[in-house]
Amino acid sequence: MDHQGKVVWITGASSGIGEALAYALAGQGAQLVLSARRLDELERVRLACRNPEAHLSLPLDLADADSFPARVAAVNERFGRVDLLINNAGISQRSLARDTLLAVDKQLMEVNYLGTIALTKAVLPGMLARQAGHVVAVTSLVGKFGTPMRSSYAASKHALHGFFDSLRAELWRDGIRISLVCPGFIRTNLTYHALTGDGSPQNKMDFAQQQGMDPAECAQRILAGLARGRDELYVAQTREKLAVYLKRFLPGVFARVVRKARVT
Amino acid sequence: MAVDAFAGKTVWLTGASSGIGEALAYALAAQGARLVLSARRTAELERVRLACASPEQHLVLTLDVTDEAALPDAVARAEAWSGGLDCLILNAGVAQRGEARDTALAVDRALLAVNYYAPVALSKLVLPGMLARGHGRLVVISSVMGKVGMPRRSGYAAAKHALHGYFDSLRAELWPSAIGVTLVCPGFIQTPLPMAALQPDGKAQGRMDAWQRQGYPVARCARDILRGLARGRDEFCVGGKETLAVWLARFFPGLYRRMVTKVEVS
Repeated sequence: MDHQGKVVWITGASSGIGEALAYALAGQGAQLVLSARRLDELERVRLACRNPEAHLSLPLDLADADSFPARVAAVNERFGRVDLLINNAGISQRSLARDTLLAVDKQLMEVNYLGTIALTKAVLPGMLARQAGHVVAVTSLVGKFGTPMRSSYAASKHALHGFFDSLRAELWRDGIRISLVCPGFIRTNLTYHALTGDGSPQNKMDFAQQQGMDPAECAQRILAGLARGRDELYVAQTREKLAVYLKRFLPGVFARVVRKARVT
Repeated sequence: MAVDAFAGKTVWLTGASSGIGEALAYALAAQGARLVLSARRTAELERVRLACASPEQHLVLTLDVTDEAALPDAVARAEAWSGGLDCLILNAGVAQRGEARDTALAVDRALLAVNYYAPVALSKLVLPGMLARGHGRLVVISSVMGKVGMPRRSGYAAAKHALHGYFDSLRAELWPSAIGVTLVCPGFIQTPLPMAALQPDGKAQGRMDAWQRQGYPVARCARDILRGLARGRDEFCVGGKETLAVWLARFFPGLYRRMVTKVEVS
């Protein structure tokens, strides 16, 4: 299979899209590094993967960039390299900008953007030394357009596009691929943990998320898109995908539509 | 379009001591606007104020936009002096020169602080007054790199992209109020921006780039910006042919991605 023997590091692997990617990649014969904050949840996922003994659970907090060099060293000690880094971890938001504390705006940026680029920068030297590797950032359709109640989340995801589009242009001579994956509404716990204006989690699942795509289908579509060599990939239902193209080709129409859109 | 769209309007301008901010100050003052000029260097702001039409009409408000503790007091002073701001132009920013692989995370964080957190923080403090008065316009000076990526600009492009995510969302949230949000994307403009551009170690570049020296004249840039604002546009580019990159990335993203790898960037 595509990822037979490949070392794949997945962040946010304890639930949602990350968990589904773990099962799909393990099914293809990859050796996984599973990262998230909660070791017990990582172990649950690892044991549910094909060949659990081939994989490593490696707790990681994206907000703690100082810990990344030691984590990268641990991965290198066990596997000697990272073939594919999937930056999937992130937190969402459900609040109007005017009601959101600046500390919350910063927290979303620290985790979703700075945490992601810090881990990428820590993994990059190994890939540069081998002149091979692939870095994936799982952003969001909200990385391509803004919607109400997502100002800082959209900002953090847009930031990833700015960073990784620039990085791709810097790394093309080095044989390192960069892919941006933009999921729409996927049936995960993302909205459950979404931050409200004061920083507390929303603690409920949105209607839109409940109606979303199954995470296993999302994972299959992501891997299929990456296998086709896509630089940027939208994984969403048709109506949501249309929003990306509406924003791109008819931004004025999109601006009038989005302000009335149901976003929770 | 009224030539004097800003006559009698009060406009707060950050980054007003040089570059696009300085040129905007002159263009706005010429239209009869009353200005609050902010930047870190008081002497430079005074120089700009005295070079404006009707210097006595304008206020110098020295401010480091990254000093969050100082922002509420600055907003209170600007509001009290103006009797209610009509427009806030978030123009202060710092550029970058260096590849991501060499760039310290502290530099990415600094680029974010000036280019993204400061506009977010300042707009949050100014919005309640605008909402209470039922009108106002937030103008965000982004960049062509808020729409496309480019080598040696990863942290800068990220911060500018972030502005688009945030302020596009905010615009949708503010509807149906009469408060407008405009994102302006300048290309290579003849300004001292590259002088202060952060290198991988966080030090300022301290010299100009060829692209910037041969760039679009800053006074024309300011004129074009005021023209776009008078038309009430949500987003527009300003500059020379480099702004075609945005058009290219929009209609032929694959072609843009191939081309940008081969661009010789300073």
